[in-house]
Amino acid sequence: MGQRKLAYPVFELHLKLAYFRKDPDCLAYRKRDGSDEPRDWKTLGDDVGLKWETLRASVSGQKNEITPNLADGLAAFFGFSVDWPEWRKGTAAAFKERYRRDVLNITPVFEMAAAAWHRHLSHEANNRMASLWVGIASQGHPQELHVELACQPAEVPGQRKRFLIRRGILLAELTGAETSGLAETQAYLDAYVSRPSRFPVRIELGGRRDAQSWEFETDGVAIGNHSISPICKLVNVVSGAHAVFSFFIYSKHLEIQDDAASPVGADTEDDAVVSTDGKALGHARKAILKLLHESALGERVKGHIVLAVCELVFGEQAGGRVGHD
Amino acid sequence: MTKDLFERIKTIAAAGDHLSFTTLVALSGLKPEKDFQFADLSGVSFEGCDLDGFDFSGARLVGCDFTGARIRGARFDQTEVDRAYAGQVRSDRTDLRSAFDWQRFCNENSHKNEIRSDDHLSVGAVFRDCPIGPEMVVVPGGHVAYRSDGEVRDHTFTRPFAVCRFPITEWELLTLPKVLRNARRSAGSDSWDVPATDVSDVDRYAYRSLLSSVAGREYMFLEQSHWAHVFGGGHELQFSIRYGGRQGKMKRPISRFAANNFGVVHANIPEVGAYQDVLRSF
Repeated sequence: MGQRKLAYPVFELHLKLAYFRKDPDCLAYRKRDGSDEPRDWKTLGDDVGLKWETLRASVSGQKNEITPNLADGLAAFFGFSVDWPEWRKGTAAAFKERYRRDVLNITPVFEMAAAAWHRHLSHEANNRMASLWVGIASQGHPQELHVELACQPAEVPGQRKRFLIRRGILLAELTGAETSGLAETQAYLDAYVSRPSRFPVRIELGGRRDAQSWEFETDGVAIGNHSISPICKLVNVVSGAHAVFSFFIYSKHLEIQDDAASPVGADTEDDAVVSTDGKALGHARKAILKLLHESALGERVKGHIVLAVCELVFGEQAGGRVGHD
Repeated sequence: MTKDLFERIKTIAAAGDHLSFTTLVALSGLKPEKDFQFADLSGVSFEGCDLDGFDFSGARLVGCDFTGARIRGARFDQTEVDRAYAGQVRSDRTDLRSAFDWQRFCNENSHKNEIRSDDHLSVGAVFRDCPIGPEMVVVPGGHVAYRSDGEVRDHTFTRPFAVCRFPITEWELLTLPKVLRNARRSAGSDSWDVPATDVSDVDRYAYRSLLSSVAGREYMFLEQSHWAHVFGGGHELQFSIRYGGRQGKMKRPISRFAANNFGVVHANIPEVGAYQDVLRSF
């Protein structure tokens, strides 16, 4: 008497089977009678070479279990391997991504790096609070992102003062994609010290998978210029996905310093304000004056002041599909 | 910069320091319900001010004086009230309990807070999620090795988390539902500002549940690994942890104990991890 093969669990099995039955790319890859219509259970059973009742029963009752025979039949027909970790334990999205990459040979790439926006305090281009650019790290790794961030002191308009930022947050909000490799990125960022001599910049990870954030903080001076490649990896990227990277600060982390060098053409009326001895001011007056100066930066929403934004849009490129028919 | 804004700056710069905070705010044209969120107001004296309508959510209020202030109607969600430091806790730290109507403020603020991001709080920040909540300090992540039941164990905290700065006190347990509170009162306590001892499971779970509900955050009890990390302050522990609640009677107020490297005060009973103390993820 032959040993009975027991069914084994597959995470999100229903979603994975639904992918085989309904996804247009998957249907196109394994056409039946030239039809791109979604497969019903019977058709799928015929394709795999099992009775459709057996197929349906094996996934009924929300058990998420499948027999080895059925799994092997599916794998042989659709061209994947049951040894993939994404098949048994991975999410349906992760399985889909690997299937598209390894079997369908479809690789998502960036189509464009759209609008970058920076807060300007004056007409001078070099008087930016911060500038930000995000792009592809290299053509060989289309899902690794590269970030360039510059954050230098900027003049307060009409005042002999400068805004100084020593702590800011870079936030990536993703739609249709997720960040991955956090531990690796964490290790990389921990080792990343831009100015080891005197004022190291600490970079710490935070946030969630769909809204990753990096906190930049330094003890003595402005955050400075950073070029980090890669800052993160992306997974589960779908066509039409977009990522918005924004660099923002909280109001209380914005410092205002007296500028040693007077700006040319400063308002003479302003001199009266500047000449007030800042040290003689009480804490309340200093705090309120700072808030008034900050209002030159525009509206604050829940204490956020957004200084720079860069938006990416993802497209998809077929790297040559291999047909089996 | 507009003419109006310049005029307001000039007015405040020329105003005397004898003016109260609320008078200066009125002169500045800033909006109490919006412009003070996440602001840095460290060192400001609010003595005797009526702060009804002010929203200080997420603001930094380190070293502020609230003596005699009326804070009913003000918001202090996730305000940073101090920075962590080692050693004796300073007496001039921000203490909202010195406000004129503190008790009334607590009674009226047992509603759910608006949940906000923790991004504005860095490692070392001391904050309160809600008025009845304990002061929490943000401790860094890291690796900790400790001994427990004769075994050497280790754990890595990949993220910072917030832990109560002081041991939970009898005063904080006053926020429990009335039935439980009366039971504790009948058990007898001379002072409310001392670490709570002999806390029953019913009390500690009731406190955690109430705190989570009011703060809108999930509070947890410290486990052994948390205690080892927090108590060690980033150093390896040279002794075993005995994990349990505080027992007996403690008479020294919490402000008279010294804090460790993480700014956490552990009530000088190093061998006991007090399991009624709370933390929350960050």
